[in-house]
Amino acid sequence: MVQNKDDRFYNEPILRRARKGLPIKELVIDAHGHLGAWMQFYIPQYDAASIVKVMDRCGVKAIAISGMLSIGPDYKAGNRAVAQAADAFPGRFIGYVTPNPNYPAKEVEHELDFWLTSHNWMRGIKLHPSYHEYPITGPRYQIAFEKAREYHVPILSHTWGQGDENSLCGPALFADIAEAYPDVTIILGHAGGLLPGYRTAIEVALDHPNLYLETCGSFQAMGLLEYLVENLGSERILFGSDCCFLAQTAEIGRVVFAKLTTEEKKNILGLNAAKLFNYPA
Amino acid sequence: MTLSFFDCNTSIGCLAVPQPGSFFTASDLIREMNYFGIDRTLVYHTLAREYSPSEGNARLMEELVGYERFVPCWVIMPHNTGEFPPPDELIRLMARQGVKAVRIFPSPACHNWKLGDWIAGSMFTALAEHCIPLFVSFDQISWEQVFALGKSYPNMPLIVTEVRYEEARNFYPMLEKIQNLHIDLSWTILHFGLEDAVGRFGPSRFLFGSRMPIFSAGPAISYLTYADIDDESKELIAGKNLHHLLDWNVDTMIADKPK
Repeated sequence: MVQNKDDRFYNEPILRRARKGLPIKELVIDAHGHLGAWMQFYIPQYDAASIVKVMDRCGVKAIAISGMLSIGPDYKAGNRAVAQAADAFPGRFIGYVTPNPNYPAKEVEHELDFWLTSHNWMRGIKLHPSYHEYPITGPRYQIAFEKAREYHVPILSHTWGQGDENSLCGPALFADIAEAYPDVTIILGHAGGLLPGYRTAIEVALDHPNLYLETCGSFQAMGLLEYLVENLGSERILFGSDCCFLAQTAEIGRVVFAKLTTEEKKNILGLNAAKLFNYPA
Repeated sequence: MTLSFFDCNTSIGCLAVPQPGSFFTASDLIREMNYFGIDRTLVYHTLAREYSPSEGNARLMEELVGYERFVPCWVIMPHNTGEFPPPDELIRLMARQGVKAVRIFPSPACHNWKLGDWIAGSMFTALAEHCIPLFVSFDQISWEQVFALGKSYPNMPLIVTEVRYEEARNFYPMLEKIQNLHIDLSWTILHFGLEDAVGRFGPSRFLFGSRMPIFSAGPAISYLTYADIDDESKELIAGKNLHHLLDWNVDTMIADKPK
């Protein structure tokens, strides 16, 4: 029988386990997670224990999270909640410290310094220009990039290349930032959001080796992972779920069912993130 | 366990805005079903959505010839302009051609008609009389309209597709009050969402749908396979619920009605 191009991926070992609903055995690190409730919709369970429970079902070793409170009304309380989750489940949570650029610069700087020096598992910075209604290119965000450089931690930013959000955090805006901070790893959350955003995110990432693309989103575009790998390779793509916004159980399906090789999936699922977060592979 | 998937939400045909991995033909869809491990699918034609319902339905029937794993789903409209036959005639045509379900796209951006009885009442009455499932995408209809349709036509299975993950506050009370309402899970991917919804309403109200070729089927499959619900519930959601909904008695209906 003549094989078509999909046949060689059908029996890929990671996919074989996922088809049966068995936990993935390879290292899986979810680079985009959250902790807490959200005003706009019902989340049945949103505490750290529920996230660990679902991680165990999927075979996810660790998840990098930011606090919903930090993205919402109380950034300091959100950061505390993240640190508490990391304490309660050692090695399962990597904390993003989330600054809110609408608060005094000295206070924000102190918040970043405090968590990035005092807590072993706070290993990244999360920015959300859309909910904080502040452009990624604005001067109040500079402190975050400077602290990322100082403490050698990656930055995950929400990105969206469509509609009003494009002017706050469209992927094209990251070109100048990536050039200004070439030694800072910047993860473009949602890889730009939807198709126009994916295209721009790839273009910008091709020009700037310190940019990574992260995969989560409720719009589960057909062929997205294959498209990203074909254009950018698998070494700068990170699995993310947006859990506990979205279901990690679904988001992992984007990667494990993609028509990719085992090596490519291993990079995306965990090896790339392990390097960025200094997580033992 | 290995689940037998019967997908309630796929289409064939070209798209105005394809995704990077989108495909267009029946043979493409079969190839993807093989890859994802999907046994059968209910399928409509994109031309029926994005161009002309009647022409798209005709194309669907032409393109499905020779394939046994597809169940055709027609996109329909009220008959008032003559673009569609009167409801009884429409249903006879459906029965003769093995069409087991229908979809509507009534929003102003698509086919632009109202759901009121003075426009579509006879069509919905005919569907309800034969318990024919009606599929409608969440972007085509408001929850108030879902409520009104479900209440007015309790014998018509009503399946809302592409319900987004943020909508539980709206569809939970709807599932409580409208017993003929079902939810396609293609976009309902909330953390512990499936476990919570099945725990409250049982598994019979939810259907596996991939939304191929716009979405990948991977997330919809893993959302079910990794869910913390029992195997029997997974089997129902994966395919048995849809089998049950499509089991309206075509032969009897043809015999009963004048040609």
